Amino acid sequence: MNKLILGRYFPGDSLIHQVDPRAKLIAGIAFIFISFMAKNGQGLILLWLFTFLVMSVTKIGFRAFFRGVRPLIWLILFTLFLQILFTAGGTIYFTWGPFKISEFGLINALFIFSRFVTIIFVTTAVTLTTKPMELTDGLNFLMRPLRFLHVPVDELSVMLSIALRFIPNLLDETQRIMDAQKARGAVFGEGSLFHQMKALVPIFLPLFSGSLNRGEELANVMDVRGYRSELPRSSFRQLNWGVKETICMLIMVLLIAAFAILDLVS
Amino acid sequence: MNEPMIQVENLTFKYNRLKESNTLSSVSFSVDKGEWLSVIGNNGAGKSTLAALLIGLLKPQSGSIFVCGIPLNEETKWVIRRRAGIVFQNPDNQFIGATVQDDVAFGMENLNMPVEEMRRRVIEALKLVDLLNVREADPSRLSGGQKQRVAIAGVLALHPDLLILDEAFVMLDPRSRCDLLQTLKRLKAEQELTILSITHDMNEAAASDRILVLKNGYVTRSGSPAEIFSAEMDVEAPFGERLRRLLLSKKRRVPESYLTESEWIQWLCK
Amino acid sequence: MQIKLNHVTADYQLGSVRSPRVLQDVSLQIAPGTFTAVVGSTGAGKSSLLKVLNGLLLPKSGWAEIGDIKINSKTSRKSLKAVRKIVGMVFQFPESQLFAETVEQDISFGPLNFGASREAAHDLAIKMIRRVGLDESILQQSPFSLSGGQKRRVAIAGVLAQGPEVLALDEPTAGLDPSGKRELLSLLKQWNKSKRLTVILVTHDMETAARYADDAVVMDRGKVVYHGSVRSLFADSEKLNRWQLDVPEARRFQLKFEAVSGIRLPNVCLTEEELAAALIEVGRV
Repeated sequence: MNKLILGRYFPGDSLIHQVDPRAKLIAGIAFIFISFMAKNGQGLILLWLFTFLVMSVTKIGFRAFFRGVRPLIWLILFTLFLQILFTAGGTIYFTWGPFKISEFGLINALFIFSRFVTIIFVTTAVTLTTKPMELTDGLNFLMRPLRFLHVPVDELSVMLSIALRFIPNLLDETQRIMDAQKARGAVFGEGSLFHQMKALVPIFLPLFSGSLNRGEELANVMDVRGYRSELPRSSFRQLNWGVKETICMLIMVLLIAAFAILDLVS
Repeated sequence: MNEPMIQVENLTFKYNRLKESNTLSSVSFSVDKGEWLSVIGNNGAGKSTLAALLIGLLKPQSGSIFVCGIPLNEETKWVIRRRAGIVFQNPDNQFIGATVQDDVAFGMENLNMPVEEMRRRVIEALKLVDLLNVREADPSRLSGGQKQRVAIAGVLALHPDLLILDEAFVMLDPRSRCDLLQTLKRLKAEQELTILSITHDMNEAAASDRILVLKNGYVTRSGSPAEIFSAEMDVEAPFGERLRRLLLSKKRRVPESYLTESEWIQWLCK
Repeated sequence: MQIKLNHVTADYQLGSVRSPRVLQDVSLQIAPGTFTAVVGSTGAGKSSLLKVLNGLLLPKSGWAEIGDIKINSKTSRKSLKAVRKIVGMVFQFPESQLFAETVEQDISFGPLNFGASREAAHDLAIKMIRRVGLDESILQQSPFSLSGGQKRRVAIAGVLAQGPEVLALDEPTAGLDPSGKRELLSLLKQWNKSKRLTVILVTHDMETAARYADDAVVMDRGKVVYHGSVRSLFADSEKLNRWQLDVPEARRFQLKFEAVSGIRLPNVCLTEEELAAALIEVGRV
């Protein structure tokens, strides 16, 4: 339960914390593209430098970032493995049947590893420094053009923000029900897979029925407080695009320019 | 001329048409402007059904409801909900916003109110319930009583004429109940608010102007707290009245009718 | 069944939030057959104390002893299960733990987990549903079709069916109306008296503590600051203030009366019955 990353936010007042979520989201997406522009040694160094700069500006310990990588570690290793073993070219260091470890394979693996990890670090920096609600607001804004395609953007963001609001309650309740069933002699995580699945029924059924009740009450509350999806709503939380945000965008543009130049020079 | 805030006539409701008994049977009553009415009754008396009907969450089989002189129906319920707010019993399930101020603003957002106006009203409403200092807190940091006060602030921000409480006290511990009761008393005095409270907290009922007793879907009596507690001996009562009833059963000399606690002590010191 | 806590310190982990020291150096001894109320302000560690008794929260240092089973940071799962059989635990809003298709299956869940046979569990279900004051016919219904008050009783029957010698309850009357509350507490008192069931009850409600409990444990910021009779606790207004505890209504009435009239009543009154008797004794009524 405590490894949950979704919606984890580290309170703080660093520069990155203060930046408007829209700017952070755009910058994060831009970085994903930028990471594919790094095609040589200098580019790789620049990528890592930028990443560490962002990480240290957040004033959050690096450990939190590494924790963000941990769930994906197998995926990363697997991809590296494939790259190393199945890419040929350059000097061959080692051969065993169809497997070869080659110069190109190692270099390719290094690039892929770097892209993977820097993207995770930078996007983690965005989510760690942005309150879930601000993230929702930012997404809502960025998805606005989709309204013309009749995507119910505002309803989706109300749904998302309510879901986020109730995650802590749901965790609490799960813990409480688990404790209650343990106190009645239930044992979790032991025996065959079938047994373990069966042991989860006394947790999920009450959780499910509790959530249904909660949902119904919540719907009533929204109804009596005048929520009507068909009418326009104003927003209490306001997003502010100021100097900081513009500078943030400028930095990303400069970064893109730097990579373009590096690419041209080599 | 002096129109009542709520006028209920011959209200009848049942959840299941196949069932014989009604949840509410020709209930009629009215609440004046600025009055504080408590509705009490045993479990299953139809108290919460009444609240849901008054705010338009349920439709009655027959009878009519007027709020602020407007007949309640599918078309008018949105207008009425701008002037009448409700607070339910579970403090957690009615907290919609991520923070206190976001939650208070929810109703105003739904009315598409300009931001400056919302900001002003959020602060004003939070001052009224004495929670301005926690306006940026998230719900996990609040007690049950504070959450209920946030819910009340959300209603007050719309400048309503009527506040309905549907067992808003029941999930709270005694201390939070006491705080919430003080808040209600103050609001009633300062805001000329009409309050209809469905409750089984007898201290709350004793603080109100009038009590309506519901039994198995019928209104059996209505009157001042003193009248109700003196007449309905099987109704739960505040401490002083329980003491009076106990002494009465021991055939002791007691005050003739219900007294507030200070009156009781005066009487004992005579 | 003797309960003993010896210098217990515990941390509590919920999600990524770790609250250190929810219990600090708690030493406590609860005698078998007693009815103890655990009181204190929110976050004082009352619920954590119950969890230690049940092995749901293990001491970081120190140990707890339930009968002859010792619980410390290294206690095995097997001993924990043995403890959980002895100490029945009723959580706040216990109705939220109901899950089975029928009431009978739900009540049998505990006994079957603790190794009872199907027949024994069936007999227990019948016995326990009666004990909580419900009709046998309810056993074949779905627990989700019951009213709130009935659900709570079914949940408590499920815990009783384990055959605990100690019953630990966290705010068991939260959300009940006055009569439902009175009935449930009278049942507890009755089991405590006739079955010698040790009852440990966490509550915010001083009326409950005053009327039903013999002893009180007061917790303040993770520490046990008082353990003694309920009456001497409520006699000491100064201490109650310090621990942010309310005074029971009868006692409050008494204090007000004594202040206005200048007459001192012969004893500390915790209920209206006691207050009535005292007022009769001093000849005011």
